[in-house]
Amino acid sequence: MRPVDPRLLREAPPARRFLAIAALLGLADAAAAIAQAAALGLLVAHVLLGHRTLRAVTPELEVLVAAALVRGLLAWALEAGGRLTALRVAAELRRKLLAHLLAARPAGLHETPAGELAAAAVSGLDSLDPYFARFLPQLVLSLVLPVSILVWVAWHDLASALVMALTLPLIPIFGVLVGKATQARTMRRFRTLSLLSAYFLDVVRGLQTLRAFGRGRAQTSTIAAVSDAYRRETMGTLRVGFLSALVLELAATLSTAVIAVEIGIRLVGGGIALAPALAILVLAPEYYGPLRAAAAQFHAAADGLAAASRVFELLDLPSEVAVPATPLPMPDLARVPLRLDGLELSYPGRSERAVAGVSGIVRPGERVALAGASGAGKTSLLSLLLRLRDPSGGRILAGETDAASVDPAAWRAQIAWLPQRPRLAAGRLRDALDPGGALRDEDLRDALERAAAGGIVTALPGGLDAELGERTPLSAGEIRRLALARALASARPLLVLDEPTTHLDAESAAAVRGALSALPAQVTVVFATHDEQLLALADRVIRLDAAPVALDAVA
Amino acid sequence: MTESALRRVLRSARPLRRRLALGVLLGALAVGAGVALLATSGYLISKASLRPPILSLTVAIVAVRFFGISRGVFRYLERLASHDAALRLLARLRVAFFERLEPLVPDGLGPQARSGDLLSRFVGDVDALQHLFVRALGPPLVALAVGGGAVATALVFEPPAALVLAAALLVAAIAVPLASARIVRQSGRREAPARAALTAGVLDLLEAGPEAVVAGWQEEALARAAAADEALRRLRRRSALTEALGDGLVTLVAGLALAGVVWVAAPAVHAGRLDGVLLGMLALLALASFEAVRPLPVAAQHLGATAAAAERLYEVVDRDPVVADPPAPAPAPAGRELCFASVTLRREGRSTPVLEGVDLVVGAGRSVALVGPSGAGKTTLAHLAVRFLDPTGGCVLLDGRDLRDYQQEDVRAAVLLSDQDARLFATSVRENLRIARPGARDDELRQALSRARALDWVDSLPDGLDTHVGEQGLLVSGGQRQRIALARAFLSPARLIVFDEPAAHLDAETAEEIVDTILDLAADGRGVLLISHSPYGLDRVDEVVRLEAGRALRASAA
Repeated sequence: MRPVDPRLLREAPPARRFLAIAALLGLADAAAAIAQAAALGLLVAHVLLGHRTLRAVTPELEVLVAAALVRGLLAWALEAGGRLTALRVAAELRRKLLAHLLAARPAGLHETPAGELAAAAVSGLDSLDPYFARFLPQLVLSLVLPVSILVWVAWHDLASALVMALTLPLIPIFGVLVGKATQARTMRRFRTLSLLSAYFLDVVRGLQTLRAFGRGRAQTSTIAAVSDAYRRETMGTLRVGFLSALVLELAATLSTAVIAVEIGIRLVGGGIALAPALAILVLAPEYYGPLRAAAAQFHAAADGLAAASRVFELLDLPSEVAVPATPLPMPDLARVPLRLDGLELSYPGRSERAVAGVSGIVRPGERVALAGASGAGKTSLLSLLLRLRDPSGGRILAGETDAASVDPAAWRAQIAWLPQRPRLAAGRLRDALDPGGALRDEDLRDALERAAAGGIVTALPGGLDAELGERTPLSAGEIRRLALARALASARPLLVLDEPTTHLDAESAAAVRGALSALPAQVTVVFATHDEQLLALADRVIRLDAAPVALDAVA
Repeated sequence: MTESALRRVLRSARPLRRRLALGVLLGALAVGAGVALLATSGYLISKASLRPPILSLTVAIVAVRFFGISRGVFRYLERLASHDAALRLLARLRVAFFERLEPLVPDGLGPQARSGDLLSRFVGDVDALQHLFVRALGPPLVALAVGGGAVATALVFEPPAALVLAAALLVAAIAVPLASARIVRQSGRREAPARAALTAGVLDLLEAGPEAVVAGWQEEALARAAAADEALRRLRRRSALTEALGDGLVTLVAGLALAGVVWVAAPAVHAGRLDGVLLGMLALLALASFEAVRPLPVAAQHLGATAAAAERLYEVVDRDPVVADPPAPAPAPAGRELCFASVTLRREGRSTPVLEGVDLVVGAGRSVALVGPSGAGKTTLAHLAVRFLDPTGGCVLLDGRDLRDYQQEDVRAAVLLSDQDARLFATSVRENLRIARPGARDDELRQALSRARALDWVDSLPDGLDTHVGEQGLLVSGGQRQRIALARAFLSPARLIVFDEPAAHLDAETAEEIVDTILDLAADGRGVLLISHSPYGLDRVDEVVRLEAGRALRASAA
C-alpha cells in the first residue's frame, strides 16, 4: 500500500492543503531543531572550553527555551491540523460517496447491505484520523527534517553529512527488501492464521448448538490447544516480520554511533570544533526520528488508507443509469401508453437473466398486474420501469420516446412508487409524508383517507405533527398504508406498487386493496403481486415466468 | 469497579509474570540503550574536545558502539518476548472466560443476548485484553525504569540537575497522559450522540435512497445527512484542538528540561563542582530520556479501553447460571418420555407469563407438532425441554422424574434440541457431524447423511466429507445446513428430539422436504417435537398442539 494515495489528494482538497501546511510547519520545526542543537553546542563549548559564567551564556539559554516553546507549539499544530483535516476529508468523501450512490446506483443500494455501506462511509472513514493526525505529519517531517538537517550539517561538517546522506536511504531500501523477502512466507501462513484466530469466535457463537449436544465443556481443551497453535504460528511469522523493524532501528542507531565516534576522533585531531560537533550529535536522532515514527504509525494509518480506497472502489462503480447528453422532453404518461419491448436484465456475475425478454403495454388509466413466483424478476422489472437501472437489452417507450433518451429524473417525476419495504424518515410525520413541504394539509389528509391511513394518523399523539421514531412504533401494515398515502399525495400519473399486500395481516391487506380499487380512473397503476384477490383488480396481467414471454404483444 | 476488573485480569495473568517481566525488562533495555547511546556520545565528544590521548577514549567509543547495536537488538527481542507473552495470556483468558460463559448460554445472558452482538462483543473484549500488558502496562513500567535510571545517573554527578529532570519527567509521564486520557474520554462521551445520529442518518439515506430518488427528494435526503456530518464536525473541531495537546506538551517539557538541566549544571562547572565534560552528557541524557515517556498518553488510552473491556466481560460472566446440577443426581435417563406438567414460566419484569399451565407429552416413536404465532413462547418451551431453563411453575418430567433431578449433560444426551440456525462450524463436514457423536466412523456418518437426504450433496462437494464449511469455508445454503443438522440428529444417541423452526428461513419446497425427513425420525422410533409455523405435514403427526399467548390448545389428536 502506498503511504500517500494520490487519489485521496485529488478527491479531497483539504488533504492537499494540509500537506502544504505540514511542509511549512515541518520547515519551521527543522529550523527550531537546528537552533536548539546549535545553541546547546555553543553553550557547552563556551562553558567547557571558554570557562564562561551562566550569565555569559544567557543568549544560548534563551534560544533553548524559545526552541522548546516553538517545537511544542508546532507539534500541537501539526496534530491538531491533521485531526481537523481528517474530519473535513471524511465529510467530503462521505458526501461524494452518498451522492454518487444515489445518482448512479439507486437500485443497487438494495443489493449491498446498507450496514456494510454505512460502515464504509462512517466508522471506516473515522480511521482517517490517525492517518492524518499521526502518520502523515511524520511522513512530511521525514522528508523535510532530514533534508534541512543535512544541508546544515554539510555546511559545518561534510564527513558527517556524508554518513547521514548514505544511511538514510538504506532504511527504506532495506525495509522494502526485508519486507519483500518475508512477504511470501507471511502470505503462506496467513490462511492458517486467520482460521485459527476465527476459531474462538466460531465456538462462542455456536455455543448453544455445542451445549445442545453436550459438547460445550469439551471445547475448553480445544480452545487452549488452538490458541497455542495460533501463538506458535504467529510467533513464526513475527520472528521474520519484525526483521524489517530491526533493520530500521539498527540503521538509525548505528549511524548515530558511527557519527559520534567519527566526530570524536576528529575532535582529538582538531578537525572539527566542539560546538558544531555536539550540535550534529543532537541532530542525529532528529534526522532519523520522523522516519522511524512514521514507520511505527503505519499500521494505524493503513486502516485509514484502506477505508479511503474502499470508498474509491464504491465511487468507481459504473453508473447503472445512463443520462443522455441531450435529453428529449418527457411525454405526459397520462396521455401516452408505456410499452415494454423485449426487456432484459442480467446482473454481472450471474448466468441466468433476472428479466428475460418481457414485452407488454400499459395504457393510460389501466390497472396492469405483474405476476410470477418469487424470484421471477418482478422487482427487477419494476426497477427498470422506474429507471433505477438501465436494461441490458430491449427498451421502454413512452409513446414514441425511448426512455433512454429522456433524463432519468424527468422520467421518474411522473411516477409514484410504493416499494416492498417503504420507509418513513424519522422526524415529524408531516415531513416524512411530504419532505418537500409543498402540499396543503387538506391534500395530505385527503391522500391519507384514500390510502385508508386516516385512522392511523388520528391515533398518533399530535396527528400529522407526531414524531416518528423508536417511541412511536408503527406496524409494517401501517407504514405501508402511510407510504401509499405519500405516493397518492404526489399526484403523479403512474403509480407503481411492489407487492403491496404481502406480509400484511388480513385487515391491513384488505385496507390496501380497498384503497387501490377506489383510485380515480385516470391514474395508471402497475403492480407486482402474487395475491389472488389483488390480481382480480387488474385489467390485464403480465406473467413473468422462467421462460421468455411475450404476452399481450405490442399493439 | 474499574480497578477491580483489571485486578482480576492481572490475577489470571500471574502464571505468566516471568514472561511479562522479561518483555518489560527487554523494553527498558532497548529504550535505555537509546538514552545511553546519546549520553555516552555526548561524553565522548566533550572529552575528545579536550584532545586527550586517543587511547583514553577507548572505553567511551566501545560503549557508544555497544549501545548503538544493542538498542535495535533489544527492541527486536522485546517485541518477540512481549508478543509471545501476550498471546499466551490470550490463550489463558480465552479458556478462563469461556469456562464461565459456557453454563450461561443461551438463557443465562439476560434479554440482550438474543442478538448475536453480545457474543461477538464478548470475543472482541477477550481479544482486547491481550494488549493490556504490551500496550497499556508495559510502557509505564519501561518509563519508570528508564526515567528512574536517567534521574539516578544525573543524581550521581549533579543532584540539582537530577531534580530538574525528575520534575520534568514526572510532568510528562503523569500529568500529560492523565490529562489527555481525560480529554479523549470526555470528547468521546460528548460526541457519541452525534456519531450515532450520523450513522443513523447515513443508514436512513441508504435504505430510503431508491424511494427518495424516484420521489425526487434526493437533495433533501443528502442535505439531512450532510447536516448530521456538520453537527458532528462542530463538536469535533473543539476536541481536535485539545486532543492534540499531548505530543506538543511532551515536546515542550523535554525542551524546557534540557534548558533547565543546563541552567543548573553550567554554574556547577564554572564553580568547579562538576567536571565540564559531564555537562554535554547530562544535557543529552535529559533530552533523550523523554523517549521513554512519549508512548504514555497512548498507553493511558489503551488502559482505559482494556479496563472497559474487562468490566464488560465480568458483567457477563458474573451472572449466576440459571440452571445447576443437583448435588446427588439421578442415574442417566433413557429418554422414553418427556412430559410438561402444567408448566409456567414467568420472566422478571414482565406481567404476563411467557408460558402458562402448559401440558404436553412426547414419547419415543411419537411425533408432536407445536404451532403458533411468533412470540407465543415456542422457543422458550424448546429450551425448557433440554433444561437450558427451569420453569417457574409446574415441572418438566423425563422418564417420570423432574429434569432438575438429573445432571444437565444426561438430560441433553437423552433430549436433543436442534435450533433454527442449524449452526455450522468453520471446519470440515466430518467434524461438523461428529459433534453429535464424537469419533463416529465414516460409514456411520454416510449412513446418517443418507437418511437426512444429504449424501448426494456431500458427495458432490470438492473434498467430500473433508470439505471446509462455515465461515471462510464453502458457503452452504440454509436448506443444506438444515440437512446437516438432521444428519446430526440421526447420529445423536438422543431418543427424543426437539426441532425449533427447522424450516423458518427456507423456501416452501425445501421446507417440506425437511419436514418429511423429520417425520422419518419418528418412524425410526424416536420421539419428535416439531415446532413450526407452517401447516405442512401436520396431517401426519400424532398430535398438534397450538400455543397461543403462552397457553397450549389441543388442536387434534390421533
